[in-house]
Amino acid sequence: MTPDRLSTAAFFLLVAVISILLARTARVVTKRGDSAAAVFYLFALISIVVNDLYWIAYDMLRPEVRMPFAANEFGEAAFYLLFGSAVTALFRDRDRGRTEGICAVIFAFASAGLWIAWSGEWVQDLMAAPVIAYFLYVTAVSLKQADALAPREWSALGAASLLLIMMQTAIFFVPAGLKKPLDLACYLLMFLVQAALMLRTGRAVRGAASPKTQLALSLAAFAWSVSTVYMSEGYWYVAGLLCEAFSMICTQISFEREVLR
Amino acid sequence: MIYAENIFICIAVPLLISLFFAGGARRFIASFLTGTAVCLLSAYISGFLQIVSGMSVADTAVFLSPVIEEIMKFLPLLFVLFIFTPEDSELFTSAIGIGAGFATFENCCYLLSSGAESLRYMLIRGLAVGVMHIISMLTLAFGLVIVRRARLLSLPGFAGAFSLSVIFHGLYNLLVSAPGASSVIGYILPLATAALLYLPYRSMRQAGILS
Repeated sequence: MTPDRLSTAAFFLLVAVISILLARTARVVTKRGDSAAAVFYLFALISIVVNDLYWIAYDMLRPEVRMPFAANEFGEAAFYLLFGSAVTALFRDRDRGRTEGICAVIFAFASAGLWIAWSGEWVQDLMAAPVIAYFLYVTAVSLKQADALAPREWSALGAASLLLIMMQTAIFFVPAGLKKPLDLACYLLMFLVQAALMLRTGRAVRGAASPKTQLALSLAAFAWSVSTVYMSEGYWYVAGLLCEAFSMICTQISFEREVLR
Repeated sequence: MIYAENIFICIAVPLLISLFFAGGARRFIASFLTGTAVCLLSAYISGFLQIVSGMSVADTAVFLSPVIEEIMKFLPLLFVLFIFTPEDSELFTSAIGIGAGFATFENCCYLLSSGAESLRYMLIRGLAVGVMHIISMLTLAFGLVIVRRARLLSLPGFAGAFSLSVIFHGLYNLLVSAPGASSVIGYILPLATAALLYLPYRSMRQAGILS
């Protein structure tokens, strides 16, 4: 199966997963209409479903034309902003985790610089950068507030992020023969961190960790998968989408536990 | 060619006069009037950007108009929110008024340019476009109310609500841009979303969150 076909299949799988999550969240909202987090989360899921439908409709109606700057950029932005607002409603201490949050923002903007260098899509990437930065900030702050990571895990995550950005940047400057191995090393590093975060999340969700810890870890796995998807192509992209689906399911489970607590 | 400014004057003058005598309905009428004015301004801006970008009319409708129209509808609602600090129900009234005014003016111009012979198309325009503008405004109002209620960092919430209304509008315009099944889905979309939106609205009312 070609990567294109696989990615379409993975995309449909993601839409199916999000639709189920949407139905479950709608049920949560009927039980806890007073929870701003639940309503924001519901709206975020609606945004991403509408956004995915936009992509599907566009691919069907105009398959031969590459999508210009369009409403889908706003759909993605809506998802991250509303999702971030939902998380902010649950992790309200504004003073804790600022340093980690700022590091996440730097990572987001460095990544955005790389996206622009790869794709040349200035407008889209400049619009996406602050939105992703906000989402990563919220994720890092929630991880800190929930004490979800041990100090050495924070160090490892920071080192991996820094190394990844350095290696991705180096790809533009190294001789042609080194580009491929360096690219492969980047993928391995990205998916190694992804696997570690998913393992940690899976354990937390199945174990006795508090709902807040579960949610923070799920968010971290999801945020990393978003970054992975943006930086991948071919079969790696498909793998990133599958990781995203897994992280979203974990996020949903932990979110429900926290909101319905 | 139609003379949109003349149509605007024709619609706006009676509404403007009724504002002095409307009493309780004043907020709705003022919002409705704003909606019609905003529709006219959006048409100017879309036309300008179409020429500058070199896009076709169809591409402008699919890619540019949703963004421009939602920005133009968002601005008066933000003005109402920050200047008049309305109750939730008043904010919803303003949002519905702006959406209804926008849809009505757009429909009037459409009727004059394309004719009103086909009842089927008139029903589609009323039930699809009309409802779509109201739903996108309701979505916005919902977002603003929740942001205000939750006392969250406001900017992401506002921007998120705005972006949601843009993608909804964009999807509708994209679907109806091609004939066949996609346009049928597009026409159903606003009513289906209205049903979906009713769920959190009812829950929040029952929970006493909306004033």
